[in-house]
Amino acid sequence: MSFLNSIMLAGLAAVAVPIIIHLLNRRKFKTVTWAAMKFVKLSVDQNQRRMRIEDLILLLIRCAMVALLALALARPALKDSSTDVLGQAKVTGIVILDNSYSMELEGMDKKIVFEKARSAAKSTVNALPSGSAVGVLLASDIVQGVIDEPTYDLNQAHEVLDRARVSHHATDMLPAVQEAIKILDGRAALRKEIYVITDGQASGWQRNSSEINQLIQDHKNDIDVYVLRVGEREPVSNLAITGMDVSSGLTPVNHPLRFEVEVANHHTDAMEEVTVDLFVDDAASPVDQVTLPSVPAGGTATVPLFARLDKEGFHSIRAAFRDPQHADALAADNQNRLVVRAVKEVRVLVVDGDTEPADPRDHESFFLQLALSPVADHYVQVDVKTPAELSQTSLDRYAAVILANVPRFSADHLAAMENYLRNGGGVIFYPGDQVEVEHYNQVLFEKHGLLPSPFGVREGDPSQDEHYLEFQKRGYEHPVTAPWNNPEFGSLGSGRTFCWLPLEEKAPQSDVKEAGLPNVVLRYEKRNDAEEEGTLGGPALMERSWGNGRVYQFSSTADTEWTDFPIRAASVVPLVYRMIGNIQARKDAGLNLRVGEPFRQVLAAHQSNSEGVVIEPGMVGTNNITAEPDVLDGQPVLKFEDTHQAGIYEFQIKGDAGRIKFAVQQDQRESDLRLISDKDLPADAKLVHWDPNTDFEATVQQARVGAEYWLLLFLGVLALAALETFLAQKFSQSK
Amino acid sequence: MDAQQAELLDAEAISRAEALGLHARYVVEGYMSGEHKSPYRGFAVEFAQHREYSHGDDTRHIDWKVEARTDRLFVKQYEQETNYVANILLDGSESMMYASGALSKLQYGKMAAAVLSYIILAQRDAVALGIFDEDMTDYAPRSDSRASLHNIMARLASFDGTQETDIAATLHNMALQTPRKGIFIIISDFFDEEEEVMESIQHLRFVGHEVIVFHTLDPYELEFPFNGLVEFDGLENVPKILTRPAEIRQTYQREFDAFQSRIREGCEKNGVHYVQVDTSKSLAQILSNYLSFRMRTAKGKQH
Repeated sequence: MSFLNSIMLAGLAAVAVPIIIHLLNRRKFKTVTWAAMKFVKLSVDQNQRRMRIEDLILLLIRCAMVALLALALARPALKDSSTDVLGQAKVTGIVILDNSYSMELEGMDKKIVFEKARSAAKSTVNALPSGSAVGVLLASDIVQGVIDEPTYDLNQAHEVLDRARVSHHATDMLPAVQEAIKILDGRAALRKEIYVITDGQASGWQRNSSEINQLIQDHKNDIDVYVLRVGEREPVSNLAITGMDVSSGLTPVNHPLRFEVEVANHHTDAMEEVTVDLFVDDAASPVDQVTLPSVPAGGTATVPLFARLDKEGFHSIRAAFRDPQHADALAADNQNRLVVRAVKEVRVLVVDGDTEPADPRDHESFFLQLALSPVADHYVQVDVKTPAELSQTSLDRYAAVILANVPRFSADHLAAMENYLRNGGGVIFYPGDQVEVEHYNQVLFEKHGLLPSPFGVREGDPSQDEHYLEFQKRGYEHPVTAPWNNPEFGSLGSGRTFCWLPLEEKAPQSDVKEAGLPNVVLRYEKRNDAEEEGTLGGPALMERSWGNGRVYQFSSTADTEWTDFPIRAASVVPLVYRMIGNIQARKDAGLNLRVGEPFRQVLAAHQSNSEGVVIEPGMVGTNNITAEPDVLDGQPVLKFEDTHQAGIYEFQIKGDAGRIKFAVQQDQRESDLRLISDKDLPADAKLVHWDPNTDFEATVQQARVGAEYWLLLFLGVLALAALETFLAQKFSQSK
Repeated sequence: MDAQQAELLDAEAISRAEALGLHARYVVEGYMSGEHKSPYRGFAVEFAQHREYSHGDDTRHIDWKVEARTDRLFVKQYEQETNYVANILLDGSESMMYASGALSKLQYGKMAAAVLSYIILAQRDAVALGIFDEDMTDYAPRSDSRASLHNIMARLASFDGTQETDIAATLHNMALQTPRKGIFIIISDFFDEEEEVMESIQHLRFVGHEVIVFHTLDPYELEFPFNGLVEFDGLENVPKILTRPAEIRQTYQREFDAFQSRIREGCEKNGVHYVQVDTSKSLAQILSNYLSFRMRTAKGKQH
């Protein structure tokens, strides 16, 4: 015998209450001065004994009532009783419904797995004895507690299950199992059950399998876990578009833009002749298409696709498989989306610290200007100014400010630069022979946290050409340089650097709040004359975020004084464009979100009372959102968190004509549809291969032993209450 | 007559009792209209015997019916003719102090005693008043003077009961000390040893007194209407009793009825008029009822 709510046993102490009331009542009486005492005494003598016994009987009944009530509230239960006399004991169950997007897989019967899972979930609810409570959690790598406080209204559970939708998250059962156990731990119930309804996707179950196993094992004495597997038994092959990027960096109108589309093959065989179409906005026909000759089994292939955007503003770009056989059973990952903002022109300011020489080709900015804006009416417009002119220049109209070989900066310069960065600008520093290293290190790096790294002591000799460094030729990790991982994109490694100011990856950082962590964008390889030539060396280019902007720092010059890289336009142009594009992307941060990542729109201070509207993909719903002050820097921010569906969303500030598009991309991990084997599922969970003919009730019935006795005790209390009323009435009759 | 004394003379009672007592003849005539006039006055109604007429006897007392049958003259003789003595004995013990309402049994008894004294004196009979508890506490010797009414009132008014009762001893004493036959009117609740009380009443009867018992009881003593938990604090040094009266009411009433019956039956057995006096009822009503009853029984005896 155990008590489910043992704290109520303390209520047994309340047995003293009737006794105390009885004793107190004996002290509460009227006094009557009386003459005919003889007769009172005679009557009392005749009745005293009876009255005492009656009092005692009533007192005992009242004490018993209190005691039984306390026991009933403590909910005594026998765990292994299989009696059904008192009706089947109630169950508190939590349905964990896997709604990761692998559940959208179409089965042989052309129904998606999620529909089967929904039926399975309902069958678990239907199998609950009457009076049971049930909670419903939708589980992917996040938990959506649609009923996170178990309800006795099983119809509500049905309604919630009817409304449940597949999200575009990946699977991870751990948070849901943790949540379910947390909910059940807080409940006083004899029978606690968790039903995990899943397709058993290996990637989702294996990620935290040991923690899940441990959790279930730790609670196996009080919580029964059922895993209901739905879907096909065989692992399903799948081809997915797992990545999309604008490799051109900048997105000007009426220029061909290059998009890198990554295709992953989760088949066990190589896939051949895979055609990928590229769509712009809502156009029905593709603007470009490329056929990949082969995608290796279990591998990926990257395909470049080109599109031209005809007007400024937000455009949604969609890549999708063309052939139906490639548009496989899992529809969600057969396409991917990106939102880009097309611009008419990009203005770049180059501040040249070395304009002394008479020949403009010796100016520090010469090659940069040429590379960025090769023709007069190019969409990139470059303004070249001297450091002296910097003070009179408003930075905010420039997409990026390049500071090449600028000796030092005044306090005004720094303040203007910080303001510019705060508003989402980008600054690129090039060193050179004019640069005052001490000033850069102490003021720009330490004091203002602008530079990602301090400059080291100059190395190399620009006057010779035997000893040099080359940029890394592979293993690019930063998004800016990532396209060069694809050999077709060209090479960065051909430039030679003869002299440089070394950058430090892990320099101790100042505690400037607005400065982000430094990252290496590009590395050198080891010196050509060093022993381990060809292995990765120190950073050639680093970056950090600062405010809403971004700062890049090269370790060598913008002109050809120390390096011949600037003359290699095929490398320099895309690199700098991608850097500027990256600055823009940071400005437009949040246009391309991973599923579940909140959309945030930073507003101007005067817009703090604004409201926004978000239209979800497929127009399934509009959501009003209200601005709330950002925690970070006190700026008002409109925030939309319900981005659990992949697709293109539209956002509009109420009363504002402009619409912003943003894309939510599905979690790529979910594309791998391999299934976990039964033996790898938690050993302490009961496994049910569910299909529509499964009698789940019969399955759980055997395991549902145990009986609760509170009802019996409560009936006892009622019976005693009736008896007490009757006896009290009878005893108080005059005799 | 001060206020306290005036209180004792219930004006209504006196007016009604006087209608029967003080103006008895007049009233009796009214009661017995159509019959012959009653020759008796007041309380002296005991017919004793016939005696042969001798010279000087009041011719009013010649029994003409006998003369008609026998041609001889007889006169009727009465036990007490006129100027009989009415001994009013009022129980002044502590138990008589009980009052459920405004009026205690003692006050009620005092009123009854006062009214009776007034009536009797008004009829020119003599009244002796005794107030007793364990012993005769206060005694106003017999007097037929109307002036003594004042004395009686004063004694009644100034008396407060405080003691236990011993009715029997008092009555025995009275029986011994009162050689001349008279009427004893006993006003008491008789919360005492019943047998001894009955014996003492018997004693009074034995020596030839007429005895009238006014059994004075409070309505609460009859009905016992208490509820809840009640502690009864005895008036005559009896230990307190804590009980729920509602639950013993029936037993109490049974016992109390039995007690009343015993007193009544004891009285009736000894030829004593028993009058139950409920202090919630009108004193005038009780006295007038009793006096009319007395008239009727006297008439019966006469026949």
